[in-house]
Amino acid sequence: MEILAKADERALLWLNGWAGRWPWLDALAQTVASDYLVPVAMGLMLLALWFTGGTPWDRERRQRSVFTALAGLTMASWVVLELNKVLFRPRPFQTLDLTLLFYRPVDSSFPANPAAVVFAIAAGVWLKDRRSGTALAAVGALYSLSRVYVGVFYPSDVLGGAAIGVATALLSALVLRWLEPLPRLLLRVARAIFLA
Amino acid sequence: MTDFRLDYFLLVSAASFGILQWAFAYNRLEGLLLLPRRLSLLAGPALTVAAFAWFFLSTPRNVPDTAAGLDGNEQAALFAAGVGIALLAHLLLSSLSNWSMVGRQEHGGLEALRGANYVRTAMRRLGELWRSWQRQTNERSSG
Repeated sequence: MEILAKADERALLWLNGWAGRWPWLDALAQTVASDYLVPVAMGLMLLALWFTGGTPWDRERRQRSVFTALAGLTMASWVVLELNKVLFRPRPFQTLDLTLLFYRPVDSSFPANPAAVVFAIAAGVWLKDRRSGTALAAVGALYSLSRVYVGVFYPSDVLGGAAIGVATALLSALVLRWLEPLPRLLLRVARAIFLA
Repeated sequence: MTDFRLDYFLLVSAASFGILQWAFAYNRLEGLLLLPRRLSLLAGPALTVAAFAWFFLSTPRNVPDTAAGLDGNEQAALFAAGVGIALLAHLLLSSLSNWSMVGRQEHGGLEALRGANYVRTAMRRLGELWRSWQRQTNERSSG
């Protein structure tokens, strides 16, 4: 455990060690790490997925992936919220000498909520649409990496968050399968008003 | 609504509008296009990129939710509202600009909008439902 904690700290110090060297890289990382770029972009990707697809069958597959992603992200946020009630890890900038390029969040560092949410979306989509899911996971990985670079998370925080995101997406897929008449009904309603 | 919330709402609305235009053009839903298809394929993403550029370049945006920033719930609510407004505006504007596109309603769902505008297609569907309901009511009352 001690060795893992040391490796985690070393990885963070190595990555954050690049901060402050190149202003353009810092500005890029600050923008990618923002609360508003990747989350909004991922929401827009889900919107695009809903309305695209070569055939009605293909479109329905994508629309079902949007349901799984939304259920997964809701569940992931809830799991992180509950974990934060019993688990508190100080942010790395509170205990280490880092170059901080972000505001100072006050909630627990572990598990990383942003990573949980973006990986829940990516995994939810990946279950039905491999190509789009992989693209979303790549965006999620960049987002998580940028959060470590700017000094607000340890690598283990984002790995923990990502694991929660993937697990909740898988669970959401199962739950939606059990609730099967519901997604079908929602799609029928959306089709009746020409929005699916 | 504070400036930050309004800015976020405008970002989502404009970016969604661009994405919708691109998605409809990509899917060849001619009844939902505001511009010629090829132009829409470029103009949609351009509008989305411009919305992000305006949002991030106009003022620093790394603000915590304990200050002027948005918490997760506010973000989700404003995102849904922004997408909803963009979709509604898109459906209305495209229906006005493609008013002559009526098409034959052979398909249901989005497929019906390949050659027909949204408002007239929806109105026709509502008319069909109304006539069907009246017919059923008359059959029941006479039987």
